Amino acid sequence: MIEVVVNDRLGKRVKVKCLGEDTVGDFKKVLSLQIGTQPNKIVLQKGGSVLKDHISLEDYEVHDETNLELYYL
Amino acid sequence: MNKEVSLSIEETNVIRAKLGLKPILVAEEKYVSDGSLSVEETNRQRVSLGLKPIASQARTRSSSTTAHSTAKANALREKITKFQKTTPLREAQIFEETPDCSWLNDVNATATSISKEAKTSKGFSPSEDKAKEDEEASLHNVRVSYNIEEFGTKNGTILTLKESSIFDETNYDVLENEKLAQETTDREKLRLRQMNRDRKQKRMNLHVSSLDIEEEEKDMLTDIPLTIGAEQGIMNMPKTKSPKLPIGKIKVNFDEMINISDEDDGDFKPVKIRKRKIKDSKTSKVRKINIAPKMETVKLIDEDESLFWMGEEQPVTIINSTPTLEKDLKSAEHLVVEIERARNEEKQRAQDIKKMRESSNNLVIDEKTIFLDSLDLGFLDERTTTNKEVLDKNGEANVDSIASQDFEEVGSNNTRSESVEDELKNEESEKPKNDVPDFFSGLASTLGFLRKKNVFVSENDISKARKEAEVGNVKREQANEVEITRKKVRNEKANITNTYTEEGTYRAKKFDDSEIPKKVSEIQSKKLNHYDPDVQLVYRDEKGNQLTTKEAYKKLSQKFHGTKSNKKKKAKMQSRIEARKSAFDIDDVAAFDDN
Repeated sequence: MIEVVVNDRLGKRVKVKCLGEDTVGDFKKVLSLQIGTQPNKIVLQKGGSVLKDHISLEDYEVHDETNLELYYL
Repeated sequence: MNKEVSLSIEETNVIRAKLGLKPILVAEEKYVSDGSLSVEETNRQRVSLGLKPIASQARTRSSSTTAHSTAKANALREKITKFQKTTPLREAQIFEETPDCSWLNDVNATATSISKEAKTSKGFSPSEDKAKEDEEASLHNVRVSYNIEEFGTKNGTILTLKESSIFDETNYDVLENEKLAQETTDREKLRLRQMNRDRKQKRMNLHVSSLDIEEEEKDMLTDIPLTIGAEQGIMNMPKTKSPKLPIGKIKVNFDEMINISDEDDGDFKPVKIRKRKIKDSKTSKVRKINIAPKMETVKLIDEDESLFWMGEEQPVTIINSTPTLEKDLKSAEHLVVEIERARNEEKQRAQDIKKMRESSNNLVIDEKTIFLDSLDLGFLDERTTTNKEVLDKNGEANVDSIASQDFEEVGSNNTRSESVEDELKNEESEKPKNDVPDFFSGLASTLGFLRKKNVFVSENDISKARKEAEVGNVKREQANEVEITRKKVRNEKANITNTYTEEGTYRAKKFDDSEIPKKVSEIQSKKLNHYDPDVQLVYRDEKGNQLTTKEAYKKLSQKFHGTKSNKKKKAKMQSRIEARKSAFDIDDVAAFDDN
């Protein structure tokens, strides 16, 4: 299990617990329930690169305590 | 505001369950404070849910020393199983282990481990417990793109994951030596370049299409001889049908049939020039000739000739110039019936004619030449000689009986005609005897001749002749009387003209002078009955404006022809009318003022 920190830099800083093999899409769903935003309105970035939904977090080398940037569509 | 929000694992799991995701199983030690489940518990749950159990890092760390031995044992067990399948070359290195790094991590870390080690080290971290054993099942096999023989034995080779599209689901992970792959690609490039150069210099005919090359590459991909897997370790793939390629050479298939078919698909497509027929307008045009369904036979009909024959009393053949199609289409039976009918009709007709001839003394002309026999051919010559005898024999009383005699009998006919001649002897006797009949100028002349000869004489004619004779006598007498009276009148006239005096003529003139104007004035008064010199014609348009005759005529003609004058002309006309109107008004006012 990993805990990913998602920060939108607008006042929301969320820690999401997930698995490394979860896809970004799944991660977004979990995150959306935590922050109350629709998953399809979320854009996640890691180091400036946008994460695609069908790729797992592992593939993006998202580990425990990794910071992801959150943007809203 | 910037406070970190974090849900507990339970909450997250609830959310995940709702979303249909795997629940997160967490190590007990770490999350005891949160009141979360232990790793075992979560793993149990996960197993019950059919999910992979979580291997918690915290726990592995804590129990690293104890687990190490078990992991080693597991690894050894694995290797023994693989040992049975693998070649002795690999056996030497099987037992070299990297104790701590997991196999998968090594793979993901891109070519850091030595190939043999990568193959042989089974991805067990030393701290793995029994849960790891389950994980083994899900670890997928990785293929190596080389035969075991191809690996250089002296130095360790580095295998990397072959690049492949993530969307390509059919492709499995393939390990390959970067150097070797590079070499092969270089070789391929060189070969292609050489080929291209040759082609440019036309040194050789190219029998290889790009499709061939693609196929070659595919073959190279598919013929992966080695597989590294979690369970099997290293194993040789079942040999495929294509034999192992010698290094540095690439097999090019010179299959003629394939090449022929491939030529169209390749880059070096031969240019095809299609020869097309030039359409010749002259040949392509089909001249249509309208052929009548049936040619009509043209028969020459000499009308004069037919008339000539008529004069000779020959039957006139009537030729139907436009034979109908129906006639042509008649069958033989029809024809037979028709012929039969025609024969019957002919018979009937002949009988009828015979009866007619018997009943009447007139000349009956039919289509046959029989009636010619009834004609007296010699009556021109015989007439004079037999005239007197017949006259003596047949008196006037015989006329009726003669008329009723059969016309066909020549003798009787002669007698009849001669008797007629005798009756009219008084008038006919003066006729010249050398009156040559003209039968050749037409029917009319013949008829004329016959009339002259009085061949056609009926009872009426005879009585008429008698009457005429009487009338002639009367007329002669009258003429004499008229002549006498005329003479008398002439004499009287001569006397009258002599008695005219100058006074008389003057009076007559005066009378004429007075009478003629009277008559003329009568006629004129009749003519000018409706003439009223006070009538004035005034032309007005639809608005009531007065128009001159010219304008009125223009309007009339335009109405008649359906034309219109253009705007300018209309305006001009209007202005003229207005001007005239105003002038009238002024005049009226002036007149009114005067009054």
